[in-house]
Amino acid sequence: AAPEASKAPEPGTAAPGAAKTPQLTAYLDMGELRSLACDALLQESFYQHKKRPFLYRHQDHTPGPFLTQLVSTLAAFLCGRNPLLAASSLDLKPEVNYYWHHGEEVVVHGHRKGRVDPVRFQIDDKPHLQIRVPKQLPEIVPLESDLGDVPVINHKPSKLPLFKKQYENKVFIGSKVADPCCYGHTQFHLIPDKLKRERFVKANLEDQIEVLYRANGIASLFAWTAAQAMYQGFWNEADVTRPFVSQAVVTDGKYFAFFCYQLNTLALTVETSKNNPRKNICWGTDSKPLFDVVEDGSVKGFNDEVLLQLVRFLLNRPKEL
Amino acid sequence: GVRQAQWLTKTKLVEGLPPSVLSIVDSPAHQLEDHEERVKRAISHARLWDTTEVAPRREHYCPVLFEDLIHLCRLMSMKYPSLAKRMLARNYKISATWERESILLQVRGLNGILMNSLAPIPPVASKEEILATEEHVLDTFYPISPTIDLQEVNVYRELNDTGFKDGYPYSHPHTLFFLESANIRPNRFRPEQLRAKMLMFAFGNALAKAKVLYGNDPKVLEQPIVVQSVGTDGQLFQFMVFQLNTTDLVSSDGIKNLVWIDSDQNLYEKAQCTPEVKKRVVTKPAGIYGFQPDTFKKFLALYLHGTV
Repeated sequence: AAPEASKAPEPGTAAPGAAKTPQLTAYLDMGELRSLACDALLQESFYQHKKRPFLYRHQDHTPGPFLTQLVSTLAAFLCGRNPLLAASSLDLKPEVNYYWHHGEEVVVHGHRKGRVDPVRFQIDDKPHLQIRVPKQLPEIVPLESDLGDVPVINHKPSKLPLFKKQYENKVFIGSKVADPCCYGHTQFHLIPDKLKRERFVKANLEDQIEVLYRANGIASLFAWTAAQAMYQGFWNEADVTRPFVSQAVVTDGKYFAFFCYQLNTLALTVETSKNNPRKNICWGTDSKPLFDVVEDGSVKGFNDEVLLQLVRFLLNRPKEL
Repeated sequence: GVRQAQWLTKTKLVEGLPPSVLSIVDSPAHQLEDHEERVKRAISHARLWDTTEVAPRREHYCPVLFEDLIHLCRLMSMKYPSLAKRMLARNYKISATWERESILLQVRGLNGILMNSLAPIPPVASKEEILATEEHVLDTFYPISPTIDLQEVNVYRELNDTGFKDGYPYSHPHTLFFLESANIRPNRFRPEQLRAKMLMFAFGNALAKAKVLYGNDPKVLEQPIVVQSVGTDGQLFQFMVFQLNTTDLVSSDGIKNLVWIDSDQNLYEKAQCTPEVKKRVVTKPAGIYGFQPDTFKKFLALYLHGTV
């Protein structure tokens, strides 16, 4: 029997870390930011002559380039306000991997039948874009706070079906240990074409749309923060002494959902999790549209709130900076 | 090579970068703080750290190095806010047509990554220099025909298309980037051919823009159009500034176009991924050797050109 894969409870509705600094908006030129975002959107969807998208590759045609343009121009624009961004490293389509043990199972067949083994998990993730910085983001809640209980699932993840085959045990944050930008700031994920909103609506599974965004947020952020912790030398016998915080934006080009994650513990194996009261926690929003539609060279129904949330994410930095 | 491209585009070659770009290279106000350290970090990231394998392949590290250098250049928009008004266009298509001594030539298709800006780059050569090109005679290489090694196709539409619709706010092509990132050496362009390709496509972009601005009639341009170009294979950089002075290309006399080329600039000598060990002693630890800061300064100067 193997309990839930990563000790993260269901995300709350609002992201508390981003509700700080309301006075920042007074200094930000919303008009400028809005025009940068609209320009990026219009270029990718309207002005540039492009061939029709390949079959089932709509994500590479418009939302992918739009997200790259948007993040790179916004990051360059905001680096005056956030010195952490000025020292950051932007990765396009990096790899993020993490390998861990959690829970136990009895070996079913083979020459080791009947022996008890830890269940091995491996996440191999390819976010669309990620920003890595040389300093850790500040903690959102204290390390030892009591955060509620984690739901327990009493069957193996390979029945779900998840984590069926194990290929190579890798731990990687996007670049090797020698890189000074060894902490994560924000990741940007693009939802693949197979999991478009329209398909869910057609299959009468509208309530599953948010679940998809949340699952992506939790899994990717857990893998990233845990891999960062491992780069700093912590593992499940030597638990983290300071929390690791990272953020993520999951989008399909029009709808954006924001997540932030705090890793408080790496001790997930059977021996180490017996007396471990700490839990990891993820906060997230529902997905909201950034705009309604693009037609005739202008963007209709632009939502400033979503852009502001994205800007707040990019401006997040340790208190001393 | 470049001489053939010069004849086809009716261009005069000047060695080295133009004075307006060199002045940006030399002035310390236009540099990032501790830029040497950051460029070295960018090279190390692209060549050493970016992969789970021991050493990344050229297909992987060439674009990563380019993205990192552009990211560093974009951070300069802290000092110059108008730099934020630049847009990178990947996978865009260009078409331009012109006639050259009764041979119809076309430049088409996906070429490189284009950076567009809101405002055009001011002309780099003075009026006297432009008039002086009138006396310059283009090199011909008789008896070899100038169109040797060019693809002869029957294309029925004479297209001139900048790649973007009208009303696009970032309508001035600023710099074209070419990344020779094929893994196998025969699939990559040699430096001479890369420079010729850069010249042809810079010319194509400038010509398409000129036709949009000034119409299809061949004439000498009042306001010459400047398009820059940077080509690299991940280590060697070629810099080029092209100025279109005239669209009257049928005859070989009269005012010519100008191009400044700074070729074969190495950014670093060698990137050692694993330490070199001889007889159980490390002779060369892993790292980047032979770093040349001037190459990045020229890259940044080309990026800033037109705004400062």
